[in-house]
Amino acid sequence: MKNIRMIMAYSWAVLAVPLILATFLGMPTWARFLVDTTGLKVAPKFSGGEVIRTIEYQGYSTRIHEPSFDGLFGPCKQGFVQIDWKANAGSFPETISEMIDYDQNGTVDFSVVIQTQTDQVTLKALDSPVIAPEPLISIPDMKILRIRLRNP
Amino acid sequence: MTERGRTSYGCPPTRIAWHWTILLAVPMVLLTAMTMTQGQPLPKELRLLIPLIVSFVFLNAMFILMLRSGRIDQFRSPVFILYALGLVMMFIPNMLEVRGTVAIGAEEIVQGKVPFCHMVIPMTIIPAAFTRTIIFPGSMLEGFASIGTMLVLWLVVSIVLGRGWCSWVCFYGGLDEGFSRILRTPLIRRISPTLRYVPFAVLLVIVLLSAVYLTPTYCEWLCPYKSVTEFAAVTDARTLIQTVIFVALFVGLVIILPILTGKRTQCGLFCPMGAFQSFTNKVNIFGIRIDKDKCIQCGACIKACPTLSLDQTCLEKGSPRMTCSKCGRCVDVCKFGAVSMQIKGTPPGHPNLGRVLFVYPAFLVMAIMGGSMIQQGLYRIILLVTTGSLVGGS
Repeated sequence: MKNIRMIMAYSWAVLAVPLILATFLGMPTWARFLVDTTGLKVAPKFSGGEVIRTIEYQGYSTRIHEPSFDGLFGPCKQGFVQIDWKANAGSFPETISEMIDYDQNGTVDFSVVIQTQTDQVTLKALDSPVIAPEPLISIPDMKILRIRLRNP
Repeated sequence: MTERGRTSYGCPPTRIAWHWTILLAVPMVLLTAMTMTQGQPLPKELRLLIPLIVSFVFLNAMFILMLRSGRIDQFRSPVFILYALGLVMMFIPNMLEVRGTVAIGAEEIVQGKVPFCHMVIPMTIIPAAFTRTIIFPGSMLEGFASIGTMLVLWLVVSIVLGRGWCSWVCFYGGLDEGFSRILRTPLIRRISPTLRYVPFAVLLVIVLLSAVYLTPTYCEWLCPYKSVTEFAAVTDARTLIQTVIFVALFVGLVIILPILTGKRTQCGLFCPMGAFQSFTNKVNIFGIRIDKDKCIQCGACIKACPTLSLDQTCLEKGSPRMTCSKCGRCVDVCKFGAVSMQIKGTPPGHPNLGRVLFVYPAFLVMAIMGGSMIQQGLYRIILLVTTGSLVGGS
C-alpha cells in the first residue's frame, strides 16, 4: 500500500510539468472549454446584459439589452436597461430621438433624445418602472445609456 | 546524483553534480526558448533582440544555479522580483498606448476591456455559483488576460503548486518581496502571530460583500496594486477615496512594512487571495518537510519565513502552516539540511528529488509568465533610454 502511494505521488509530481505545458500550449482551447461547460458569462452589471433587439436606422442602429435586476438569490428591487446606439458610417446624426419599448409589451416605456455633439440626454418616462438615466457613455462610433428601473 | 556541498550557514548539505544539472537544464532551455520566441525567428531590431536574449540567459542561468546549488529561494527571488517590476514597466506604458491613460473609465468597463486578475477569483466564486456570472468587467475569452484564460491558469497552477502560486506565479508578489530584501537586518523583529489571521478575515469580508453587492469589493476598495497598474478614473469623491486607499495601502503594506520587517507583509498579513490560496495547499502534492531528527530548533527558518508560516509548533509537527508559499527560503537557510521540499506520500531521504520535481514545474510557470514580463520591461527601459519615452516604439 505504501509503495502504491509512493508511486502515485511520484507519478503525480512528474506529471506536473506536462500538465503545465499542456495548459499553456492549449490555453485558448481550455479557456473555451471551461466557459462553454460552465456557461459562465460576464455579469450584466458590467456587460449590460444580452442584446434582445436591434433596430436599424439610416446611419446608425439601436441595440436594446435585456433589463437586468441581478441579485444573488433572485431579482432585485431595482435594476437597469442598457441601450446602445452604434454609428454605421462613423458619425451620428446631430440628434437621436427614440421611443423605447424595452420589455417588448407593445407599450412605449420611455422616450430618449440625445444631442450627439454635446452628449446631452433628455429622458421622458412614460411608464412607472423608469427611474432615471445614468450618465451617457460615449465611445468612438457608440453611445451607451443605462436607465435605472424599478422591478415591476 | 548528488555531491556533498559546503556546510557553512545557508548552504544545504547536498547539491547536484554538474553533468546532472546540465542534463536537467536542457529541457528548460528549450522550453524557455520556445515560449519566449513564440516559435518566431529572432527579431532583427536590437531594441527587441537585446531584451529577449538578456531575459533568456538570465532565466536559464538562475535555473541552472538553482539546480546545481541545492538552493531554491536564492535564485527564485531575483526572477520573481524582476517579474513583478517587469509587469509594472510593461503594463503602464501598454495601457497608455492602448487607451491613453492608466485609469479605467466607464468606457472600458462597459466594453469589457479590463484585464482579469487572479486577485478577483475568491470574490467571483459565490456569485458564479448562484448567478452563473462573473462579477468583473472583463471579457470571457477575448483580449489580454481574459477571464477564461486566467481561470484555467489558476486552476491548473493551484493543483500543481498550491500556494506556491504566491511565490512563483503571482505577478505582484515580487514587489513586496523586493522591498522586504532591502535591509539585511529588519528594524521590526516581532510581529504578533495573531496578525497571520488578518488575511482570512479580509477574505471572509470581501467574499461576503462581493456576493451581496455583486461587485469585486477588494478591487474597488482595497487592492494596493491598483497604484501601479490601473484604477478607476478619479471623477468624484468616491473614486478619490478609493485612490487614496490604494496608494496608502501600497505605501504601507508593499513598501514601508516590508522594508521595516523583512517580511512580505502584503502577502502574509493582508492579501485575501493568499489566504484563499492557502486552502489549495491541502490538496497539493508538494510541501515542506522538517526532519525532526536533524532539526536542532535553532529557529533560523522561523526568522527567515517571509509569510510567517513557520513557528515552534511547526518544527515540532514537522511541517509549516497551511499558509506556506513554498518560496524555499527555509530550505536555503537551514544549515543542517533539516528542511526540504517533499512530495507528500513519499518517504524522507531524497531531498533533491523532491526539490527538483517541485522546482521544475514551478520555475517553468514563472519562466513562461515572468519571462515575457521581464523581456517587455527591459524593452521599455531601452525605449526610454533611446527615445526618452516609455511609449511608442514597435
